[in-house]
Amino acid sequence: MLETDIRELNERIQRESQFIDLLQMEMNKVIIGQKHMIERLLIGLLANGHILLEGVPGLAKTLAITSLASAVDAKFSRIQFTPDLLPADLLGTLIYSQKKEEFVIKKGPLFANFILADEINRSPAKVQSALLEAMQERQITIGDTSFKLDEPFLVLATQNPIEQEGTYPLPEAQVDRFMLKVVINYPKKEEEKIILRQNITGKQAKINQVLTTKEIIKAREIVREVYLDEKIENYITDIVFSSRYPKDYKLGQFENMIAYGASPRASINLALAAKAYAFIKRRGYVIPEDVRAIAHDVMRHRIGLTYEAEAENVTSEDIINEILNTVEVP
Amino acid sequence: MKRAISILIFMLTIILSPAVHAQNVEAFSSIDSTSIMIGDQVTMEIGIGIPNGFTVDWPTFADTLTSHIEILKTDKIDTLVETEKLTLKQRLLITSFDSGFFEIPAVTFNFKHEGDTTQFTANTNKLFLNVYTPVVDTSQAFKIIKGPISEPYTFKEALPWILLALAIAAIVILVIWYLRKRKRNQPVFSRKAKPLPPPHITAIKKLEELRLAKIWQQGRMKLYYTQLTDITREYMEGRYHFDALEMTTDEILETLKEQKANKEIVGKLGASLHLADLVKFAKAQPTALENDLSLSHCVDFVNETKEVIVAQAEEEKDVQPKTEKSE
Repeated sequence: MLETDIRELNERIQRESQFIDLLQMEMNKVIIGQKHMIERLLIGLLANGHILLEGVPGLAKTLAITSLASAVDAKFSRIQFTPDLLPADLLGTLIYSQKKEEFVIKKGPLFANFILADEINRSPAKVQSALLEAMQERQITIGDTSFKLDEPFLVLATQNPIEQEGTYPLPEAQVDRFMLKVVINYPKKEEEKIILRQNITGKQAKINQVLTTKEIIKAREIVREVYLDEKIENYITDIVFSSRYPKDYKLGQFENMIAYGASPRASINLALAAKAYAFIKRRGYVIPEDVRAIAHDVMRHRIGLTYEAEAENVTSEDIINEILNTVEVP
Repeated sequence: MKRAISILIFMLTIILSPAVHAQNVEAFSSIDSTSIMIGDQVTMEIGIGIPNGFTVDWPTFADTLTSHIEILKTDKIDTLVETEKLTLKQRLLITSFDSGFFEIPAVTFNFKHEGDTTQFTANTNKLFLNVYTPVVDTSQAFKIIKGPISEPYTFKEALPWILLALAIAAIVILVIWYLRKRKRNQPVFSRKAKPLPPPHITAIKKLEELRLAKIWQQGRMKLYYTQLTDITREYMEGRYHFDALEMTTDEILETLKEQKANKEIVGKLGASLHLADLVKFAKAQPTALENDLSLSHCVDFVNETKEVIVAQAEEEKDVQPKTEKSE
């Protein structure tokens, strides 16, 4: 029934996506609940997009990222962002070697596959931009030498929405470079009980490595092959355009509430993330459900609100909800 | 004898000439009272009696008769036609704000015989008017000057203000109405929509049109399934009042479950919608049987879930039809 290439792709996905269950199983050993967050981490991993995690302290943001890094045979660096951090602390620097009588390059912690940028908003703009440049260019220049970063290169940054004093909020242009902004909520009551039991025993479950970087790169290639029909492309552009020109999409009530709409990066990332989501669901094609599933995470940090919106307590979440409820599904 | 005839002709000429008739003209004037208190009003009448065949140039008055006497009102000229005589009269309402004894001068009337250019004049008699001031009793104490007497407002005075208030109220209501319309994104002026046919009638009609169009037989599979799902989702919007066009297949099926629609029918519809998704988004090429079956499932869904108006036998007894959901 399906055309040969999509049927063949479906079969390949069935074969190549088995690691997803294993990876989720390993992460679930230490992370209770937070299915949404784990799924988004996988999307970032498969769609080659960086992720910004936002949530109050203690929601296992850091633990989830370290667990993911542990389950993958890859180099992992954790950088705690502080106000006195310098770009060289991330990128590396030239150090004079007395033995060699020359300057040698000392690579920084960004030379890794998984970077955990913990509390990214605690460092000043120069440090943030050093990291974000590496995220975009996927290469680092120290002195006269440029170094291509190893693939996969995934930055997982965290920030908490409270304690805004002494923080340096990421500028809109830099937030846009994150494929997803995932908002993490408190666990459910039952999940909290399991977390409690697991932690008072003092025994930490050991996470096994179940995935190699080669497998990730291979999976990424398949994800790019996932079929995205023109109807889905139209649906994605309609969603993005409705955030820019709400009046044209029967969303006139948001005309004065949106300062700026989602950028073309939003369209690109919606498509890529939808493909990765379809892959996770073992499908070789994207359906509207995939777009809707990741729309909030892709768009919430890409819609700028006006003072009127803030005065009326309208959030970007409300706007995205209304967009999804108004834009016609193909 | 000749001399006697000549004298007779001469006498007749003199008797019958207009000048002789002019001698019968009588101008007159009178006044109601010859003595008034300062500011009081009195009616003065002027007039002239002339033989028929004469015309009078009636004198025109400004707002004063003399420097001391003012004219407040001038009536129309009253005409009295008798057998041989014509009497013209006019009443003037006059007053004076100066005290003293004043002469009202004679009024001059000019008149002439019709067809003749010779002008004649007649003057009324002079009149006198004594205007006196109130007698002040200086032995009495001075009294405080009274303020203006306040008159009650009449409806005529209040009417412009009432109309203004109504106009302002109407403008305020219009502005509020317009802002509400704008906030709800509704058109300011809209014609009352004609009542639409029930959603199932429209859906069945469109599904039949789709079947007859033989779209999938022409290899346009995607268009066929797009139209099929659009018709079905539009029906759901009309029937269950949820935004089916803005929902994905899974969301639609979930909502139908919540609406407690027939599970079997929803199951078959779900299969058709999922198949449509495969065609629309995954280049699927269903078999001819699957194409027909998908349409049948949609038709069955519409027929099984439509709202039925129960026409009861009592309808003739003025019993209102009642709506029943067939699930």
